[in-house]
Amino acid sequence: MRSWIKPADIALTVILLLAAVALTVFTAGKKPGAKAVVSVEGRTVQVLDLETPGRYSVHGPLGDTSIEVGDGGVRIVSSPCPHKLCVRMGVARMRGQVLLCVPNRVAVRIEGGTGKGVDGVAG
Amino acid sequence: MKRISRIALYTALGATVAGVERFVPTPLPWIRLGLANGIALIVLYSIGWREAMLVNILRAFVVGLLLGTWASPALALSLGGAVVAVAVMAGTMKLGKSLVTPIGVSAVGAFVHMLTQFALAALLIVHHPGVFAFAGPSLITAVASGVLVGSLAEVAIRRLPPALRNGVETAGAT
Repeated sequence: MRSWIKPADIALTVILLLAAVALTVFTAGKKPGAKAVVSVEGRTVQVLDLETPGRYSVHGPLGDTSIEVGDGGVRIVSSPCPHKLCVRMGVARMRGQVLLCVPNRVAVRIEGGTGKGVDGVAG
Repeated sequence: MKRISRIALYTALGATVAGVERFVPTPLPWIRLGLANGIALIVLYSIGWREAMLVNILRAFVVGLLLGTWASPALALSLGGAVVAVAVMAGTMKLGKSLVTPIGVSAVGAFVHMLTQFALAALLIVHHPGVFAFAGPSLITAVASGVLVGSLAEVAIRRLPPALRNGVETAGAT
């Protein structure tokens, strides 16, 4: 009878796991971010300074997604999506972190750089 | 069993599995056990890659219809993952021949499925590679679940009744 598992399977699994772990380590929260770039349907609509607390609202296909900056991070407070997964994502602070509301096409991306420059960019 | 009945049966199975696994709480939107790919894997091993591809694509559409995601990019992610997963699993099966079992094939399929979803998300939704920050842990989960699903599929493949296997068409050829 065929055996349950073979060396090639184990090799494949290990290679894949190593790749995944490598990616995890490589992308692990590096430096704290300085600004949050909010985009709707791919277009940047706002650039928020993470040092300046405040509440903002962006408009997507489903409605308004509410974003809050505070404590050096940003989080999605409310969104018109059915599952509120974006809200459950919590706070993003590190560069490269992204908060996403897929149904409302909203993305909030943490970036570094000189954050104190612009408070908001429209269009 | 007639071909169309088999495809319908497996599609229904896949859709059921996909629907159920959506209730599993996950920290991120797209982490799914990928059990539905296990169904495609069973079809792949017992019938053929064309049927497996068809079942997976149909399954993605059916689940999308049931959950109302046809108008959202989630369908694109689901379809992309489904198509690429089967294609890579079929390729792995053919290339590996007797060196691989469904477990390895499933692990590869799950990994590629997850990776494809992230790639599509970066391309279609976020338009930025930053989303890959979540990819690492998701891929680890994907490989683990792939191995699990592969084991389950292996059991199913061995115990499959002949009527569900490839080959003999009953009366009423298509």
